Amino acid sequence: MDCRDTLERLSDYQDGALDSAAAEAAGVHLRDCAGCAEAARSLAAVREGLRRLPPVAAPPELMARVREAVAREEGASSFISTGAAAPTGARPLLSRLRIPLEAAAAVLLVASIWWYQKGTPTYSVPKAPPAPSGTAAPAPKAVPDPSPRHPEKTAKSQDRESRLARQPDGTPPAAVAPEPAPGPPAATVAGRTEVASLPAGAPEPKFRDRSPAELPAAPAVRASSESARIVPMDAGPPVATGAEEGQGGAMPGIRNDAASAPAPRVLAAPPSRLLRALPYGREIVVDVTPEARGGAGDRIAAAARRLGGSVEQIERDPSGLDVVAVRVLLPEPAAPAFLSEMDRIGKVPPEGKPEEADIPAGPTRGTVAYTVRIR
Amino acid sequence: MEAPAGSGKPVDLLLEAFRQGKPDAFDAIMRAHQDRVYAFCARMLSDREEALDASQEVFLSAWRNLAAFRGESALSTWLLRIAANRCLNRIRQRKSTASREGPWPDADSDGDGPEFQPASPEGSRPDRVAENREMGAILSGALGRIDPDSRWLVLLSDVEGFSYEELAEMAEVPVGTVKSRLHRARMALRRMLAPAV
Repeated sequence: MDCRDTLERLSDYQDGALDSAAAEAAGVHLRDCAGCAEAARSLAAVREGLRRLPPVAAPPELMARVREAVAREEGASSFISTGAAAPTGARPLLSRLRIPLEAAAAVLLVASIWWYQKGTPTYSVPKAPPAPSGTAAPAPKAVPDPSPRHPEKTAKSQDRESRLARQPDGTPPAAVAPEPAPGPPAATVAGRTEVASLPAGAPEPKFRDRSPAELPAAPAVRASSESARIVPMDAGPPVATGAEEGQGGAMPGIRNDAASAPAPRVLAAPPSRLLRALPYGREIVVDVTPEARGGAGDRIAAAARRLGGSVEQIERDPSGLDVVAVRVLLPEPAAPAFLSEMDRIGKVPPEGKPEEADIPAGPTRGTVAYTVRIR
Repeated sequence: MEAPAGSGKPVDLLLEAFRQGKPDAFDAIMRAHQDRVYAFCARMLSDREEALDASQEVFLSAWRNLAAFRGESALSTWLLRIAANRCLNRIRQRKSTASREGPWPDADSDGDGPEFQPASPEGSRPDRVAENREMGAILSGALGRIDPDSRWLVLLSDVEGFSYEELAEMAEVPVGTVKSRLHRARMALRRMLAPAV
């Protein structure tokens, strides 16, 4: 290595950034060449001098000047947000448009409510008991839709009226006024009966009719009624028969336990989520054998306490016997030991275990939080 | 005020306090960093008033943008990066003071700088303090005479202790370019201070 190469690599040599062969060659040259050795010494002196530059204190007015500038900007920003007492030319466009925008929003809201009320049909279901056979059944008293929109749905609305007037035993109503006629209501043998009484020329009320296939197919889970437990159906299209409908109560896609002989498969209840996810920390899932399940929660809590942590919350199953989740806080250094302890208590599936290096933050510095769910 | 958190990533508590809207948090940030930022600006600009103006700009810019600061680097690194940009802009705008700034000596030129005494292990002795101060003034004077694009690299590397990789990221050039620029600047400083060293 000659003088030129050596001088070009002096910084790297002094940084220890040369490979061993180059460093050895530079070292040999520096031992043999007084000029390069002097250059190396003076370069090192310059670098050392830079490292030892005396500290420089900021003048006190720097803080005051920055505070003043920040206050000016804060004043400007609050001025923009309030839009008050500002020269018109300086007020931003949005600020100047504020009142008209709010007025427009109010008008839009009122118009939306009016439109909704106008388009919503109102009707009443007859409350009278079923009329004897051969008599006219009470028909729904329809209130005419003041807005003559969707006249093409008249046939459907008649069908809907017909179903609304269907008797509880499945028989259709004895008489349904297909078309409102002007004049007095129809008279029956049993006496005066209210039938659809639309004023002359009034449009039919608007109904939306849906077939069973259009109804939502999501199964009901953990739903129940006073009379019968309702359980979800197995996967597949919802089944609705006329007989079921005719017997009243059953809805398409939902089976009535009391009426059906073979018990359907009951889906498991969803896992308890009473312990909500934390804004910090991680969840761990531990698979525990049934025989070890009884004491698993206590072992988890004991492990946390033994490692210097605390137990924040314990969640039990509905029976109150088994612990299903434990939330703990631990000192940060104890996190790996706690994870190892979880491996001894049960089997932590790969997806349920945080990475070794993934130490979650706790609510305070130096702490970690885990919610251990027992499965 | 940077402390390791659980993930091992530095967490600036003052920055967190500022984001939480705690009063006086920005004052605390300023108190923690103002000397370092001002010293960098003063050494870059070699002018007290300009350094004061540049430092003010740095902290005002920080105040505007702290909420969006993602913390990928230390707050001090971020502030010094802003300071470097501000100082370089100011130097480039110095059209009327070209004589004070240049011409910049290159590595092959011979400098005739002021006297310089290299630091020694005894530099911390009381009788050496004055000498060190003088050395600092001489070095600062020499720093003001090298190319500004190399000067900030020397200041951040040899004074502030930034790594070559950090400087390469800040300058958006390869690490090798940073190393060669730094070496040329150091050799220029050595030549300027040759009578003393």
